[in-house]
Amino acid sequence: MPLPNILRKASNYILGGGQEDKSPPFNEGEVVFCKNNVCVHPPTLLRQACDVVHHPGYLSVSCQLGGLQHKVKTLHLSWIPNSTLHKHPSAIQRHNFRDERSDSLSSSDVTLPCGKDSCLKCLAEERIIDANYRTTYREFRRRSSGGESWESTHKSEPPSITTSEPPSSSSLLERNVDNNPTSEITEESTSLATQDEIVTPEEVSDKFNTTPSPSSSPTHVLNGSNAQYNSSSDSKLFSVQYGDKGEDLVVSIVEPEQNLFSQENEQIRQRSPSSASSCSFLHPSCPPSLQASEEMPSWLSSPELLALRHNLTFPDSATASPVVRRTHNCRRFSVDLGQMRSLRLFFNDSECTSGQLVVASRESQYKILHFHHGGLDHLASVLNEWSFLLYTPQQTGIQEPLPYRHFMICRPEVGEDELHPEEGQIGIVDLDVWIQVLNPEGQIEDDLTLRKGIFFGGLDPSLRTVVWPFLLHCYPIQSTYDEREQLQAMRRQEYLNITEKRTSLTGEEYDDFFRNVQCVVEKDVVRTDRANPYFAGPDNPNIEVMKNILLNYAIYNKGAGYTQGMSDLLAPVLAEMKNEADAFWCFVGLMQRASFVCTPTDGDMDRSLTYLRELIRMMLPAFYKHLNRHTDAMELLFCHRWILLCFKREFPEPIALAMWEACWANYITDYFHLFLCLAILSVYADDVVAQDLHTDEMLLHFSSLAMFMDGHLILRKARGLLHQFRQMPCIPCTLAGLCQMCGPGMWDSSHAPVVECTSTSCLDNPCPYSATQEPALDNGEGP
Amino acid sequence: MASSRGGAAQRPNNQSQGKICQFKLVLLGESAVGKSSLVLRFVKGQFHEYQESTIGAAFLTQTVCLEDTTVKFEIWDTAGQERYHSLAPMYYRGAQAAIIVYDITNMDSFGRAKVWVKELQRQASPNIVIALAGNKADLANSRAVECDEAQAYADENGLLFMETSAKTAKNVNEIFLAIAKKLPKNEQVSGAGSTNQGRRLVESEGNTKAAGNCCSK
Repeated sequence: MPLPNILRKASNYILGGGQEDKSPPFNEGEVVFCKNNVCVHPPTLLRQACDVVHHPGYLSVSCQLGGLQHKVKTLHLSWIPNSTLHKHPSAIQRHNFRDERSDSLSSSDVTLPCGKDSCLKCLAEERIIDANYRTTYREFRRRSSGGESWESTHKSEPPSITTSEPPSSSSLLERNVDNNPTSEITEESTSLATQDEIVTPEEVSDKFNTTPSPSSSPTHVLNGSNAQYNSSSDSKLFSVQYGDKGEDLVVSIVEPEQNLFSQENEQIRQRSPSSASSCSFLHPSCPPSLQASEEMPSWLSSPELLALRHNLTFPDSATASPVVRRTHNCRRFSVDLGQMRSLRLFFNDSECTSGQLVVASRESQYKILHFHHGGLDHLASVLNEWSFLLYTPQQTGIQEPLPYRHFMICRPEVGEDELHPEEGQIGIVDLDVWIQVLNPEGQIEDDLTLRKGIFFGGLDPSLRTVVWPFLLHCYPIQSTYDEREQLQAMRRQEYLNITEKRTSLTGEEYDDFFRNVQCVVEKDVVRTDRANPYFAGPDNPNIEVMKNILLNYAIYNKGAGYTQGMSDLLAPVLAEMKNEADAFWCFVGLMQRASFVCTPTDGDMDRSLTYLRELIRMMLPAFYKHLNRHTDAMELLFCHRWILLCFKREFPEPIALAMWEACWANYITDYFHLFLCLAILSVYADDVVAQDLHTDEMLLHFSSLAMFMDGHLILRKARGLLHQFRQMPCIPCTLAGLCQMCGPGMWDSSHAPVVECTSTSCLDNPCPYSATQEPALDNGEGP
Repeated sequence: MASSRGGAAQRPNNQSQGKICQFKLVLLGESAVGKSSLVLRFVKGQFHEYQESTIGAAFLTQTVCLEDTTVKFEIWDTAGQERYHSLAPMYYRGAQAAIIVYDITNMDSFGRAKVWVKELQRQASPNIVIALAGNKADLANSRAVECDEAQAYADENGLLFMETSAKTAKNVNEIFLAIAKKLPKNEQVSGAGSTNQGRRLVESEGNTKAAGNCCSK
């Protein structure tokens, strides 16, 4: 779908109606959006939801002149942490878009785009809020995690937006500070529990309106100087900003600013040694004099600042070791949105008011701003208008730099109709369920129920030690307690034999083994899952255990040997099983059953990729078209790691293991991992198509998403896609194998599709499915 | 975050900045010689003792400033193990630069590096700038590859050479800079298949892809 259509569709969804191409005449200097208590979450390794650290701050978006010769209107987004505001309230006015270290730039350095800046503030309120924020924060987290809607009580309150011309702005500011006696602050900060005692927006509004203002209408903010907006819908849009206990007063700040980047360059030039004779690194290798630029807005100074989405945090980078870093300093962030590659709005509540704004630079640096208490819909409408403004000239062929090409509203949610019909009906497999599955002899009588339960509901982590050996074919489903005990004893003995065989290698055999296997294994085990408590710390003995298992596996299965990635797959198994021999045999089962454990050159990987390409062709045609247009894109490089490590590095471990289990359940298909890939693509690849990313950018895009995709969503979507696939009346012969490989009893015969030869992509010659014959693909009972 | 990198902050979109060139650089070498660590040090200024093994490939970008030219590297970091070798041509296709990394404490990795050099000389773009990096220079007391030997090999083959240490950051930026200096920045680079051959990005060019091979002004 062309981007304008996506936009239109999205805006229709959000705004509930056809949006005509009326260009919103934003004026430069005008604040088009502002919102308090927008959160930034520092990147942390997330093991639990409570690990999220919230840094609330104040967000404003203003229209500025930027680009070449400051001739192009662009939007500047600025976020200032509340902590900064608290410490330096004046920062918001004086250094709104500038770094504090840039004090060497006198204010006269800041060019006024055209002197028409408005200024409007409830700075005092902001401070109160900030003071309160800390005390209320615990409360906020508790309540917001409880899913309560804070907005509801304020929905009917009118907005309090005021603007004034610059000459009056500073007096306004002071005045407002004066107007808020300390007693009020104290009162408010001590009486948070009762909303009634809090200054209402109306009161604040009244205060502000005492200052003469040329345009005090709320519509000013939304719609520029043309107050065309329907006022009823307007107040509805605005009302979401009056969230929690009046904290979310609309506060807007305008600061004359010059082009952000030229300012930054200016700083760099000032600080760096003469660049004429020597070449200097911009960052991070900067000489000491440049280190000061650490103090630049975090967006600008940090690499791929990857925050969170859907409450999943992001480690430093997709390639970094997941070492926990908690000392993150959230700094102000200011950016010219026109220089960004994309803007994404992700709504994560059913009302479509809260969610995340994700700003991506062309270098795929991400800044994620969390709207925990509404307001995102309003931002959506503002940006939407803005992008319509910009689309119009594009379509008429005027060549102008066009920011916001990539503005898009995303709702990474699976619609009801996309879900598997049984979604949500089957609960987690916990001890009760497990006990019911076993008969008195310990045999699993109804393994289908078990598999289905794990597939839909997941497995209680405490049962992994018990259940994984079944899923990994260590123990036959029908085995009794006694048989398993014997089997375990035999296996442990056999394992000892393997160890002995390995340790008795000599001469050339040993040299070969050492060079081809041991060498690599030794390098890999020390860098595998060291953040997992089971492997953490120096000289952890479990690392030696992991090494032994991998070496023994290379002896046990000479053909497979050792491939990088195996240690990644073994580590969670060992951490659960905790016994060397048992973990080894589970690992053996994992290697045998898993088509995803292989190298890119192996047949299994090729087969997986071939199937995935076909699935994409059938189920995500727009993305398939995109892949076709780019060199090497069909190699699907970006999902090799997904398949090879079964999403282990794409999601935090708990959800990744849930995916492993869903794959191991072999419910309906042996290729559930491909549907997981497909789900990721269907949820996150719209961006790729919209931005027309080429092959390497796609790799960057998806590896940037690692660890901050919504795993539960992906699982739901994947189940839905599998269902959708099963409903297809006919499937191409290229995917026949996908059906034939189905586990026992999984491909319900009532759904057996017709297989057709696609001739063009068919690899078999002659194809058993050619000439429109209709072989009954009745794999109902499986192999 | 302790790290930092170029990127948006340094995007030179004001008038005083000169041209911007973009180059594809690929890192090759045996596993665990420190390819990803070099990239991480260069791009983010970080070092992780337990850098995870690279599975498949990783892609990162970093910008360096060279007098009036801004050089943006698109860095492909590849998996080192032999079994991933068949994917390598895809990574080095169209690359204007390569860093072949070996571990100075491991003679085998130096041998492997030589094989990579031969392969690139035979199959990569003819004008590819190749640098040889003897990494883990901080472990010089367990050195297995003599610096002179590597230097001699590099000279014979026309390679840039440096001993580097991702851990101490020794020569990491320097090697990338040396490559940046050696890359042709004015004439259009002719290469195989890539759409982003040494492209110059026109100032305020919104879409880098649209620039294509544009090196016109």
